[in-house]
Amino acid sequence: MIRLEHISKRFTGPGGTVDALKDVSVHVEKGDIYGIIGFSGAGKSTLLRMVNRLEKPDSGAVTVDGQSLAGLSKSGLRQLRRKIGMVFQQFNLLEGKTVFQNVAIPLVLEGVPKERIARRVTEVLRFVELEDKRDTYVSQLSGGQKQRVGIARALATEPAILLCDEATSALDPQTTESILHLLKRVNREMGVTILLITHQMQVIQMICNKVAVMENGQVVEQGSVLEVFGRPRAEVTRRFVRTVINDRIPESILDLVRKEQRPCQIERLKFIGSSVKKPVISEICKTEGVEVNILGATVQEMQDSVMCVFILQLFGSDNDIARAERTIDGAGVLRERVVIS
Amino acid sequence: MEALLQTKIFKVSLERLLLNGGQTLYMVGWSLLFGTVLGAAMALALALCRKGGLAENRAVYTVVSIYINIVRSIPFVILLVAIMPLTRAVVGTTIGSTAALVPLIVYISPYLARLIENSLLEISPGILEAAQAMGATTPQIIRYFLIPETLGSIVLGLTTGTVGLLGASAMAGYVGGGGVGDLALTYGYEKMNTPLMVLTVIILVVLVQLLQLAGNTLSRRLREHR
Repeated sequence: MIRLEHISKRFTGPGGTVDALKDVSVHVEKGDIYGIIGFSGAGKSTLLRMVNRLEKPDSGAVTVDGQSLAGLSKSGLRQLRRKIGMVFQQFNLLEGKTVFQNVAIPLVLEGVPKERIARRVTEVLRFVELEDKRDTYVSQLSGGQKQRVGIARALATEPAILLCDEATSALDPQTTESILHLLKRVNREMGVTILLITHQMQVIQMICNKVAVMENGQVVEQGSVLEVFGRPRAEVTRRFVRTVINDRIPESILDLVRKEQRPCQIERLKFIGSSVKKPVISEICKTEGVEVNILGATVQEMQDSVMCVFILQLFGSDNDIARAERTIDGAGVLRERVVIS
Repeated sequence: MEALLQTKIFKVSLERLLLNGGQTLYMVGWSLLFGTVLGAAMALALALCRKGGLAENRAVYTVVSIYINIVRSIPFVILLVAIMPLTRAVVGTTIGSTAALVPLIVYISPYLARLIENSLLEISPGILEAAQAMGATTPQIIRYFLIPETLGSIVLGLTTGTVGLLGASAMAGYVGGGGVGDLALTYGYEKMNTPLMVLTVIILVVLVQLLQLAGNTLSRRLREHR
């Protein structure tokens, strides 16, 4: 649906040149909710704007729905933009106009007849649950309601793609959740492919099926959300994952572990998806003869799946522990030894 | 009726007062209308063609900007005389209220252009980005986003411009344009009729107050829901 291939972009300002994007490639399939995460200045905003050509790449190719953006005429580009909705962090609504007028604007620009505009606006307002605010002025709405208007406006022209630029970053946690829920419905019920950028891992965890992690203008890691959450490789990814999944051992427990006299090994286990169902821990107790002490455990719901993190303390001889480890690995559970200093 | 019109106020007939008042309104009204049209056109050219604007064009921006600066640096009295050939070419004469319109428009339009330009630049870049993302053409962006979003501010600018125009129109008496200023000069100053001069000043003060009040009210209306 969206193919960004080897995109590079350099900005030249009074403070020198900045390489905003360095050879970035991202592929978004139809039906995806694809999340790009990174701290501010990572280049994700610039990358998002490549898709509707609010930014032009210095090199590299952008293809949307099989159409290359490079050879597009001005009017061709306008046609394309009308098929791509965009939602902004600061909403960017006309504050002095009503909800209806705001949502109608993209249709007015296309010259759609009045009755059809009224019908479509009513439809999308019902979808975002703002029917009763139709004639309210935008300035009187809360942040969450404003973002709903923003989403309704983006959907008015029935786009195939929705771009979200930090759509929830200006909202409180509860409102964020309701907007994310709405985006998921947009994806499922309207079949809209969503490409979003964020610095909140919670957003990725709640609605995305794929994720790309960006740092200093480069994609350092990408793949399915479960994959990246389960086996984060880059340091920045680990930091992001840690913001939603706490896999650290509390200091007080560490103290106890340090005082432990018996030989033991600390292991971090991640159960993802179907491996959650396997009784691995009781199995190693029974068959491998190790003693197990659970130091910590968390469960995170992700997409339609779950991820459990267990931190175990295994007591036993080196041999027993090695065998227990093999059993764990054999069950398809992600395991890593934790070294305590 | 006739007797009423001949009533003397500070040695000047009421008829004369009304005539000159009407001339002022005539000059201010028409030059404001044409000045706004020309000023808005120049303001749009500046706002769109500036660096980072929607239709970046350095040549257009520089030419318009320099023209505005040149005209704005000429005092009105000098402009009035300097462009007499242009005035004659346009209206056929250099004397009278209509003839005064030409220099007034030439004088006020660059001033209004700067005021409107300032208002247009107040628009948030986010709104423009949203408009572009929707696939709006430049004329559509001007009509549906740029003007509606900044109209309240533009009205305030035009009010300031109108007050300036009123001041300039007072000098039009110099070319036989008449008006309230002419009243003060010819009948007040030259005939040493101090009470009449005070009266005209009061009229001008009241007029400016009313203009500002009207401008503020309209502007507030336009921004009511923001």
